[in-house]
Amino acid sequence: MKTLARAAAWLRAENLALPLAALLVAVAEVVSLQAVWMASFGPVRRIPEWADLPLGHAVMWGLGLAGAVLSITGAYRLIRRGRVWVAATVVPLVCFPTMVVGLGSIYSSLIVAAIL
Amino acid sequence: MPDRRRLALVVTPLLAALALAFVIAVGDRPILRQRSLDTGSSRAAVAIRDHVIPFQKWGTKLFTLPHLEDGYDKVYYLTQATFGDKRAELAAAVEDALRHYDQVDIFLLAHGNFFIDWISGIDPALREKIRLVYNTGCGNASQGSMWLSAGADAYVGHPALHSVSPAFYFYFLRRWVRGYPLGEAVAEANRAAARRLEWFGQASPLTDATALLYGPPDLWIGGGKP
Repeated sequence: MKTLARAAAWLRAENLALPLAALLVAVAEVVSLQAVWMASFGPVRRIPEWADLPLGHAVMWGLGLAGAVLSITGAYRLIRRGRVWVAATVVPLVCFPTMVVGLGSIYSSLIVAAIL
Repeated sequence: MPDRRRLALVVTPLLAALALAFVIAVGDRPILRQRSLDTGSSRAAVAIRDHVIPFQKWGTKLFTLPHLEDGYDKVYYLTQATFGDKRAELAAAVEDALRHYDQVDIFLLAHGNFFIDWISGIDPALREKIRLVYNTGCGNASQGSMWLSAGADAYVGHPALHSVSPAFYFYFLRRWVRGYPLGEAVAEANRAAARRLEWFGQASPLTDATALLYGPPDLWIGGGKP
């Protein structure tokens, strides 16, 4: 517990908690989407057919929006308060790709739902 | 640190805009409706997805169904659970659509196929109401004249042995259901798909997403027989 608390304090101090959370959300989104399609079309159907599409969109919107907000806020805090070399590394390597995933999820959801 | 604050206020929205621009460039720009589809005629779409991995079945349905529902009064969407599955259902869906709707479009979302045989039992007079047939099957452009003889007004298919047709289909369906003329939808989708395949190093004589159009290029989703 002490190690975990120390790690959390270090992440907060270095303004890395939000970028890390954004990264975890992006991974969770991929895993959730895989779970939805396996539940729909896997060897055994585990959800009703009407839920195939709404569940996919719910994942793309819910986790996509969360990832986008976390990555944008994380980038803002790092650029504003983080150490320069940490910001220069984490913003392009973590914040920007997770922004692409988060915003891409929302945009994709609007496209596949035939809204855009 | 007022400078850092200003920097963050400028750079962060720029990064978000850049991320969105990247997504749009890799994917597709928003496609808005070209003209009203309320033309007084009724139309139905019949789509069948072949027996592939769950991700492909789910992805095809996720993308196809809302678009078809956006452009058609009635959509029959079938997904095969085994190879050769849904033969009777496809014929029944096409026949039902032909009996009840003015225009019927068929989307064959399958690897190289011969679904034309599956609907051969339908009355030829009814089959004359088939308007557009789009076939994703590799090398299935060769069925163009067969489908036109079977009663379709237009046929879109891929000549390549490895057609990478999802790349074409994504751009094509979005434009077709939004009211683009068929010829323009095919041409734009061909260009967009070829560009993406080139960007990702997938373009080669064997992997070619180009689709060929047989039939009138001015056909559109709201229009009847030319």
